[in-house]
Amino acid sequence: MSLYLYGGYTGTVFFILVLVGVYYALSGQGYRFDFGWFLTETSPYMWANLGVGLTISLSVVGAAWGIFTTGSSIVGGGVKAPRIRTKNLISIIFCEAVAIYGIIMAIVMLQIIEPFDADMARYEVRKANFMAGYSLFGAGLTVGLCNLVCGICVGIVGSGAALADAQNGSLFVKILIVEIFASVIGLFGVIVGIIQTSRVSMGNKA
Amino acid sequence: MILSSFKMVDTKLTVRMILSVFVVFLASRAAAEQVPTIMWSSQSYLHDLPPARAGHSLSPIDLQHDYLDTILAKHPQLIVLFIQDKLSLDDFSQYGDVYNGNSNGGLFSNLKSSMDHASSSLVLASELPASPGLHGNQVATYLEGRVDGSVIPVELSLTEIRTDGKKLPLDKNCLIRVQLPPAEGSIEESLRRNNDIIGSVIKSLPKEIDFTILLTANRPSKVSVVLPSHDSLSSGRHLLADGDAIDDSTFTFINATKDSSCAVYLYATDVSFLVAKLDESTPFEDTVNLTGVVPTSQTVTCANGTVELALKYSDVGNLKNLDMIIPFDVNKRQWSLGNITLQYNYQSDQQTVRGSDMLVPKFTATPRKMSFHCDKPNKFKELSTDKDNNTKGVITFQGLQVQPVDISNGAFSDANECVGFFTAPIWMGLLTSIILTLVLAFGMMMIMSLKTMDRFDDPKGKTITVNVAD
Repeated sequence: MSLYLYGGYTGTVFFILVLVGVYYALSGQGYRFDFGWFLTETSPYMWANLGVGLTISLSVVGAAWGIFTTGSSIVGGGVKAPRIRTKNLISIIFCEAVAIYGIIMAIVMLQIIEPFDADMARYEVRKANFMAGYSLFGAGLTVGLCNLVCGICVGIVGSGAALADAQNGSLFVKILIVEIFASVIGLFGVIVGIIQTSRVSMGNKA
Repeated sequence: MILSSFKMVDTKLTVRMILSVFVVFLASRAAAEQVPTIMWSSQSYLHDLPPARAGHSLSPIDLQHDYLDTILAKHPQLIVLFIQDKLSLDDFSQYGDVYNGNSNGGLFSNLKSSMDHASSSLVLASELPASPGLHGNQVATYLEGRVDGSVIPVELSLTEIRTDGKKLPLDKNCLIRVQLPPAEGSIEESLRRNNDIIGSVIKSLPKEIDFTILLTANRPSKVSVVLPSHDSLSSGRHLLADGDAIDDSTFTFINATKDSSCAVYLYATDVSFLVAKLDESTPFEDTVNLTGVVPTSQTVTCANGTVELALKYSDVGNLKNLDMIIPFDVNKRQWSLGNITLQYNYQSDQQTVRGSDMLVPKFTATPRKMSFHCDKPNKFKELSTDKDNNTKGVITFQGLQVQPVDISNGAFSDANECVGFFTAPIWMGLLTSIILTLVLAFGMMMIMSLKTMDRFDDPKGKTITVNVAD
């Protein structure tokens, strides 16, 4: 049933876009089907703010998913083996770190967004502002998606760690090493995001 | 059974319907070249004449043979002929207050009341005679030639018609011919004046004689404009335009042609030039309207890759002179507008502003063989004001259509509109909405996959009862 729902929605959107494209092609207006126009005419603010939104929201989704996976295992395992409850909070903290990466990146990206006068801008100013918009969008996707999958991964590993710990206490530290590797990939995303946004600036000067 | 019998009749009906539609189509091509001929009489013999057929316009011969001869044959009567300069059947619908049930006929009130009191009437549509024929005058000549009584022409500016001074022979026909004055001022005024004249003539007719009154015109008031590029049968509509009303001051058309390969057409419904002085203490601004002003000189130069249109305006209001160079960058696939350079000299009582500016337009490139059209182009922005003199000069066009290359058939080619179907803001909204609906879809998918735990469900086991103590 849900397959029909999502298939139908995707199919409708795709059909409408194809219809518009074919109409342009067949009515001699093929020159209007222009991605370059789309990229240069849409406002860089849209791209920049989409980037900021994606950063924080996808990171939080990843963190939340991880926490609920780990949390339910800890709570379940803690019924029979109460000693695991405190030790396994580390997994929760690893998941939380992913959300913290997201919000830090979002605040860094927000500071870059400045107003500029689009009509009066010289070519170099427009170039710099558009680059800033696209870079922030790219950084948002980078950081957001990295943190999303990192959070999911840490959550599943943490859940396994909690249940293994409940069975045999010496297993916890070994599984924690796996979890540390899982957590590093989120950090990779943040590093790349920082590099992407470090050299851009918006405003009337650039 | 009913359906099959219906089908047998249906084909004949369809063929007939198609044929009649075709005929009406062809006839309507000539609709705008018809002139109405309206006749009404105190006797009822007009009922015996062949009735008017819808869409059919009578040739002059038919009109004379079938209708005018019968009118002339009736003795004795008074034939009154009103000839208006221009009249169409559409004028009655437009000015005759026809959509009101209790109307008195609007600007044709006397006509309506006279026709209502007549015993019989006919409304016919006549073809125009071969050019340069004037229909009303032709009818008048025909009747004058054949009427056996006297012909009384009525002067135009008469407010009181004197027919009692002349003796009307009671056994012969007489023709009173009234040439209604040509249109001056607005159409309503001239129709009202004609109405008054018709009313006073009819009132002054002697009551004891039978009369037949005809109203016709020399030319139709609405002419059809046929567009040359359309096939005559495939265009189902005509532009009915009032032929006299083209006003040259409502648009600007610049046709700068050097030879067949180097020509620029520029059309705008509004051209205005804003001049300003950017002093902080005394800011000054003025707009000069250049619509309809013919430039002092317009030259076009073509080099490979660029076409330049140079316009010079002098002495328009307070603007002493304005030199404008509009360059176009042309390559094999497209052309686009380059930076416009302006030099202006403006002098008024308050201020003298002199300067030069460059405007950078932000339009997309247009494919070759197409013109560019923009209704409200707001992209001519001044980007480099003349900082020495601290002045600003900006030219704005409205309803602009321009084509610098590949002009064929002396007209603009198909236009590349500056506003397409999907504008940039629409795309931005679509993109953001799609992202949000994706998020919504994802969330819905997650929620709908939640399941309650059913590991320990046992339909055959004991149900749990919980006692609630009060």
